[in-house]
Amino acid sequence: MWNKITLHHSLNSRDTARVAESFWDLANFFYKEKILDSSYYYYNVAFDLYEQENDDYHAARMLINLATIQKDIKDYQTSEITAIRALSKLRRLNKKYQLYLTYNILGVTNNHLEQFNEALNFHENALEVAEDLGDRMLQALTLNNIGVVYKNLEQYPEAIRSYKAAQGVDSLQIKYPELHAMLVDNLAYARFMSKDSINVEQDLLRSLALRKEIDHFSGIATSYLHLGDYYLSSSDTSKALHNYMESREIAIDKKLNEEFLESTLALAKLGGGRSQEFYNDYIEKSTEFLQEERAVKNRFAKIRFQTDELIAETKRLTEQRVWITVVSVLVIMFLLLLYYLRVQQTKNRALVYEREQRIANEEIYKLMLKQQSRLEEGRQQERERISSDLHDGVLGRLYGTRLSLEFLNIEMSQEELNKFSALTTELQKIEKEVREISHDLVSENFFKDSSFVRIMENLLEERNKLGITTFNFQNSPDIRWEAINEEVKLDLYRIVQEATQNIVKHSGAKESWIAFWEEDCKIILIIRDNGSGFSMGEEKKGIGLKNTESRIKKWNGDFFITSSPGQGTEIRIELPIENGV
Amino acid sequence: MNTFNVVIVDDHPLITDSYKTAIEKIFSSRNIISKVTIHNNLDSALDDFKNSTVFSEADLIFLDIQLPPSKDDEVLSGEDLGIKIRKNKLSAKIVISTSLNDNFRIHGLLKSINPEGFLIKNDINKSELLIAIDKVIHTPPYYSHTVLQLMRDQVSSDIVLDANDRKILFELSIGTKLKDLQKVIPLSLSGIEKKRRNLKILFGVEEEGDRSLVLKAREKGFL
Repeated sequence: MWNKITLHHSLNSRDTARVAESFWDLANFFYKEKILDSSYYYYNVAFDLYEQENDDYHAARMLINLATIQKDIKDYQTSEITAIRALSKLRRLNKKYQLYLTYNILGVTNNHLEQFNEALNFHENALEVAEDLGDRMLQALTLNNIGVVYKNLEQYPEAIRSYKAAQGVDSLQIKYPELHAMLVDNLAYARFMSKDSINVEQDLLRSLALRKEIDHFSGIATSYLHLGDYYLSSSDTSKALHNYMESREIAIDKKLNEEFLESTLALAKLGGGRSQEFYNDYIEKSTEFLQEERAVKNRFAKIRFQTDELIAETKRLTEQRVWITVVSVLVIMFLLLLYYLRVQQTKNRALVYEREQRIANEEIYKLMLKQQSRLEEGRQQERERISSDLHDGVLGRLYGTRLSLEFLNIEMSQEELNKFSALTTELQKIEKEVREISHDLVSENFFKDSSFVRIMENLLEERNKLGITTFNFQNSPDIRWEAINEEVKLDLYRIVQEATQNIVKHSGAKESWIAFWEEDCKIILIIRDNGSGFSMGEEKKGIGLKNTESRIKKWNGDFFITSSPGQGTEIRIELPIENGV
Repeated sequence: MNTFNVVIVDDHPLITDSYKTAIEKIFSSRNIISKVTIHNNLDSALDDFKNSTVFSEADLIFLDIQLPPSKDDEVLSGEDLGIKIRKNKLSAKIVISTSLNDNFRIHGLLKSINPEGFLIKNDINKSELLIAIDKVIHTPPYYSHTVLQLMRDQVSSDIVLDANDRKILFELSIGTKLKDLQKVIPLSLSGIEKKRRNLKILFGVEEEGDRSLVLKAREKGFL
C-alpha cells in the first residue's frame, strides 16, 4: 500500500506536516473500508501532530473526522465535545465548509442526545453557512436534518415544511439519490404522523423502490418499518407484519442494530404467538447492543491514549536516525582524515625522496669532480715533472753541448764556419723553445677552472675516440663555473652527454661543435652538428630530448632546436644565471 | 806572473768545461796563468769554502743556482752559497750563471747576491761569453739580455713592490691557494689579502680572480 510507503518515507524525512498528512490519508482509507478503530487511531495521530505544529485548520479538520466517527459509533456526547473543539478552532478561520460540517455534526449529535432546541440552533447555523457557500446540496441536507428534529419534536407541520423546502433543490434525485429517497420517506411519514394520508402509501413505496435501487439498506429497513407503521394504523395487520418482518430481516442481514430493535419491538407489539419471543429478543439484543456500544466507546477512548505511543516511537526512530547520521558522518570524516594523512605521508615521502635524489645528484657531481681533480693532479704532477726535467736537465745539457761545440777548435772554411754558426744559433733557438715548452707546461694550468671544463673535455675526448664524429669544444673563460650550482652543472653535463650520444648514434655527423659562453646574464650552450638532421614537427620528442627539456625547465631555462633534413641540427640552451644558480 | 783564480760551481760538466775553455782562451792570450777549480755539487764547494783558501783566493766565481742542496741542507741552492761568499766579504767577483729566467727569481738574486755578472745560460753564445768574462773582470757589471730587459721593465715602471708583494705574486703564479700563502709568506691572512687587493689596484686589474693579476704582473716584467 503506497500510503504505508509514504508514511515510512515521511517518518524518515522528519517533516511533521508530511507525516500528519500521511496518517490522515491512512485514516481516510480505513474509514472508507469501514475499519473505524484504525481510522480513528490515525486521525488521532494526525490531530496530535497538527496540534504540535499549531496548525489549527488541519487540527480542526481532524477533529471533525474524529467527531464523525464518534457519531458513527453512537458516542454522541464525545462527538459533541469534539465538534465543539473543532468549532472553537474554526471560528478564527474563514473555512466555511468545515464550519458547515461542524455545525452539521453538532446538530445531528444534539438531535440524538434529544437536545432538540440546541440541535435546531446548530442546524440553523449550518443552513446559514450553506447559503453563504451557495451550496444547494448542503442546504437540502440541512433542511432534511431540521425536518428530522421537528419530527422528533412532533412538530409535524414544521417538519413537513422543512422537508418540502429540501425537496425544492433541483436535480436532487440525480446528484444525491439517498437524500432524495430519504426526503420522500421522511415527508410521507411526517404527513402520516400528522394524520394526512394523501399519497402516503405511494410515497412510502416510492421511497422503498428508490432505496432498493441504490441498495441503501438501512434506508430500506426504515422504509419497511414506516410501511409497517402505516399498515398498522390502517389496521392491515398482516401487511404490517409482513413489512416489519422484512425490516427485521434486512436489519439482521446487514447488522443494523437500531432498525433491528425497532422492528423487533414493533413485531412484539403486534402481539400474536411470537410476541413474547420478540420481546425477549428485544431485551436481549438491546442489552447486547448497549454493551457493544460501551465496549466500542472504551476502545476508542483507549485509542486516543495509544496514539501518544506512536508519536514517541516516531520520535525515537528519528532520534535514532540522527545518531546514525552523526556517527556515519564522523566515521567518514575520520576515514577522510586517514586518507588525507596518507596522502600527506606519501607527499612527504616523495619530498624526502626528492631531497635524497638531490643530495645524491650533488654527491655524484662531487665524485665526478673528485675524480676529475685526481686526474688533474696526476696530470699536473706529470706536467710538472716533465717541465722540470726539461728545464733542469735538457736545457742545461743543450746549453752545455752547444757551448762546447762552439769552443771546439775545428779547422773549417769560411763557408763551413758560417754554416756552423748558423747551426749553433739554431741550437740556441731550440733551447729557447724548450724553455718555452717547459714553461707552458706549468703556467696556465692553475687558472683553468679545471673541474667542469675538464669534465666536458673528457667527455668529448671519449666521444672522439669512437671515431664517428669529431667533437670540438669551446668554453668562454668569462664563465665563472666555480660559482655555479653543482646540480646545474650535472644537468648540463647530462644534456651534453645525451646530445652527443644522439649525434653519434643517429645523425651520422662528421663534425660537431659544443660551446659555452655567457650573454646577458645567461649561460648559452650550443650543440651543433652537420649530420643528417630531421624535419621539424616530426616525432622528435624522444625520451632524450624530453629529459633535456625537463632539466632545462627545472632551472627556468629556454630550449631551442632547429634542424632540417641534410642541414644538420642545432640545439641552443639558455640558462639564466641568478644568485642560486 | 799573476795567477787568475777561478771557481766554477755547476753540475753540468759540459758547461764547466766550456767555461774553463773560455777562461783559458782569454788568459792565454794575455800570458796570465789561470787556475780553474770546478765543483759539481754544493757539498764539495762548501767543503772548499770552509776548509780551504780556494774561495778566499778566487778572483772570479761562476755560480750556478739550480744545484741540489748540500747534505744537512746548509746551503739549499747556489744562491745560499753566493750569500755566504758575500757575507765573508771575499774579494772575488761573482758571475751567476743560471737557466732560470723568471723575473722574480732574477730580481731576488740581484738583491741577495748583487753579482758582477749575471748570465742567463740560454741567452749567450761563445762570443758573448768571452765578452762577458772580459767585462766582468775589467768593467763590471755584465748582465745578459734577459736580465737587462727585466731591469729595464722594472725601472720604467712606476710600480714599486716590496719583497712580500713579489712573493705573493710569485706564489699566485704557481697556483698557490690563498689559504696556503700564509705558510710561505710571513703575514697574517688579512695582511696577505690586503696586499693582494693592493696589488690589483697597482696593476690596474679589475677582474675577480688572480689570473689577470698574474698576467699583468708578468707583462710588466715582475714575473
